[in-house]
Amino acid sequence: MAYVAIADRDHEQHLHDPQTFVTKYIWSQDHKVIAIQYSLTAIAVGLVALVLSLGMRLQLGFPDTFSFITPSEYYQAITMHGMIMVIYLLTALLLGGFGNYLIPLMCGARDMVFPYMNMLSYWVYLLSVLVLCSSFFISGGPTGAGWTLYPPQSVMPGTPGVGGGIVMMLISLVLFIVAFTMGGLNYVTTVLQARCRGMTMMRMPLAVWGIFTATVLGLLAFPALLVSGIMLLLDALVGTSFFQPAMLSMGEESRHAGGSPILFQHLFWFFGHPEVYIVALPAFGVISDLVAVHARKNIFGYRMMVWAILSIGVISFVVWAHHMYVSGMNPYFGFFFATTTLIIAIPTALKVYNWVLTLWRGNIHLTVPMLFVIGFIFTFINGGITGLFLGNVAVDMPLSDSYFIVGHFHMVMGVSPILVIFGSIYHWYPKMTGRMLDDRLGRIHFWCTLFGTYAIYLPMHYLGILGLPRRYYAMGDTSFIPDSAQAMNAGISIAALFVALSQLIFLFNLAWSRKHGKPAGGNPWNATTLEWQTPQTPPVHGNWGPDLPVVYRWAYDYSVPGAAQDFIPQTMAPEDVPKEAGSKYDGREGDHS
Amino acid sequence: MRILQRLLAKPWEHAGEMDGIHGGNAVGRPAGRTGLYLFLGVITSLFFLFSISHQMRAGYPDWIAVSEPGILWFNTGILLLASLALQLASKAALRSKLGGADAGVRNELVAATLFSLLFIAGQAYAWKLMIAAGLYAAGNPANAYFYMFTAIHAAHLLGGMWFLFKALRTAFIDPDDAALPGRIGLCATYWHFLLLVWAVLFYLLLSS
Repeated sequence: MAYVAIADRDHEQHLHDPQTFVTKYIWSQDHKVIAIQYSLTAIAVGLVALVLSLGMRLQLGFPDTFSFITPSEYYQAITMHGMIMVIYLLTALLLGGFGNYLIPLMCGARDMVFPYMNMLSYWVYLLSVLVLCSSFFISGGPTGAGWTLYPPQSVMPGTPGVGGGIVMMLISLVLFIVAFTMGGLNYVTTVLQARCRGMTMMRMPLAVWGIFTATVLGLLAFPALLVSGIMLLLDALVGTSFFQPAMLSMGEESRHAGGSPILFQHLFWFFGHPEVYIVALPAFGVISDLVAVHARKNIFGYRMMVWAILSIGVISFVVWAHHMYVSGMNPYFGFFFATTTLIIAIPTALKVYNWVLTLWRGNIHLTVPMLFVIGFIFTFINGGITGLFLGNVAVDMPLSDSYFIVGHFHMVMGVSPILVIFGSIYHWYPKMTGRMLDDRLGRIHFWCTLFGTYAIYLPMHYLGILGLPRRYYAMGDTSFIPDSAQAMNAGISIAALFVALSQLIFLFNLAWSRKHGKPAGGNPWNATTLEWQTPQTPPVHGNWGPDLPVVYRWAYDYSVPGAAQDFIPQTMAPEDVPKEAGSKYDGREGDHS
Repeated sequence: MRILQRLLAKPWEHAGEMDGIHGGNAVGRPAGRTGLYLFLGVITSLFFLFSISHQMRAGYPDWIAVSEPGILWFNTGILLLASLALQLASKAALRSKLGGADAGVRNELVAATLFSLLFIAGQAYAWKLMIAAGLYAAGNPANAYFYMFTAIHAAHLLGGMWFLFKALRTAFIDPDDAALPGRIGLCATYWHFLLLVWAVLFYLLLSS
């Protein structure tokens, strides 16, 4: 039977045929448009979170100076900043944005397998963002419970936003999870079922492996957030006592009794730790591709990289309670979770070694994406190593409520993925728009961002070791904190303002290059993967013209000895590969040693 | 083992070779069924976590075991019938080859729809009985779990009803649609799964 790709089988997928502006750009079912919708929404809400962080930094750096930041507003800003950055920016951008754009293109599909559901996924995501942001405008404002929303405090009087704020936050999270599930089912099914001919699983680029595994993690882990969110919502609205214990609040007995706040923590972190890898794995995958392209070298240890991604995915489900050492757990549990936490460092470290070994003796092109790659590797090592400290119970206990934690997780969970996102945008913007981003602006943006973020987060580790507690609105006169700590806090705040302002360079570059950027051509980086082999740039609806691509090789045939060019696209048949004069290379197996 | 073999493949070797087993599909089933199985995985995770929380919460001293309304047994039987009817519809649709939604298929689909609606009505009646007995959600966590389990389960069934209605509509309006047997099959799988989930939830409710 003649081969017919799944995307071209009539009964499998009916590609919609957009005719109007509305169906093409608004109610679009095209994965590329949906990806851009996701990305723009995530970046917009991320900017809100960035502004909130500036408010916090102004208060911390210059206490008693800005009257518009009250303690309540400070806690509301902390909460919204954290939740927006982790869920509504990073998860949405890395999976909804990059996942949507890259999976069909890199797998050789025409679209996601369920395009209508994919479209719904974006609109429900947008609704969740709108619900969340509308809590800024209700009486009492958004919740100030902290991004972990721990009960009992999150639903108790006295916490900012205890009326509508916490309810809107929880409803927004439920909507986000619905949206993610619709999108996630698409990503996984598309990878499993809609790859073009020749694209075996082990020929897939690591970016797809990362997004695929992270999506599976999300599909299994987000239900934990949904469960805890629904139960907390019922505690807040109906008066149930799933999590709320009996308490005296402001001299009155609360209406709750017997609930377990620790149960909430377990559920939350059963989601929360995989969430770290839901963000990290796509970043790992994307970095692996970027490092190979811009070092003109095949990725070192491809199979190990795949296995590492999969094993990180599995182990990430048995480390959650390392976020709860201070909750008073049984020491044996602490030992168990410390052990699993150290074990997950092994495949993670393996990935770092492989990136470095890919760079080793590579033909490194210091392009803007490559700068971000190198910045990421440094930052991830920094954040990862402090994570090893914190994975140990005895070290975590004194540091848990200090700025050391803030420095650590911003390095590993904030700066690292953001550097990947920037690097990826510089890398794939030419495919999305047909134009290059301005190189000089990109370099200025990179150095400002890298140095600026290090000026923010490295000193926080020191402050944490000094004992500076996190979450405090103001330190006041605390005898064990020296005056120099306040000076450092002021410096951090200035650095934060500097980093925030330098993002304007990036936004300007995005907008300016859209019209005035250098024309990119189809494959400006001379990359091998399928998205660079589309007949048109930007790819049109359906991606591939009349025929789907056929894949003959893996995604990393760079600098193959004997080949005339330093890259061989995945779609190039062995007999078509240009060879060097006198070479015995037959276009099949290169010497990759 | 096939998965292991694939993960052990050395993709940098044998450029130009097509593997003979791979043709765009990693698994040999329609995309819709793969999507459904994945979704069932998500629901499994959801109800597993609800169940774990139930077991943990039930260990606290304030837990007062509740005597669930007897109508839940009747409802369970009705859901079983809905599941059976869908199974019969699925088999009949496949037997009659492509798109042969004959009267038997239509009748079984109608029966499945009615049984499902009756199940949801029965669950609502169980709520009414609980409220009439003064067993409010805020009164005790055991009550709260009863309301939450039944509501979340019913919400999943109602979601499935959307697809069942679509299949039913196709069976009457366009019975020759070749995709119909597949859709009915997906509904049947989903209903069997929800029956299983309900059996577990019902057991948890009865046992604590």
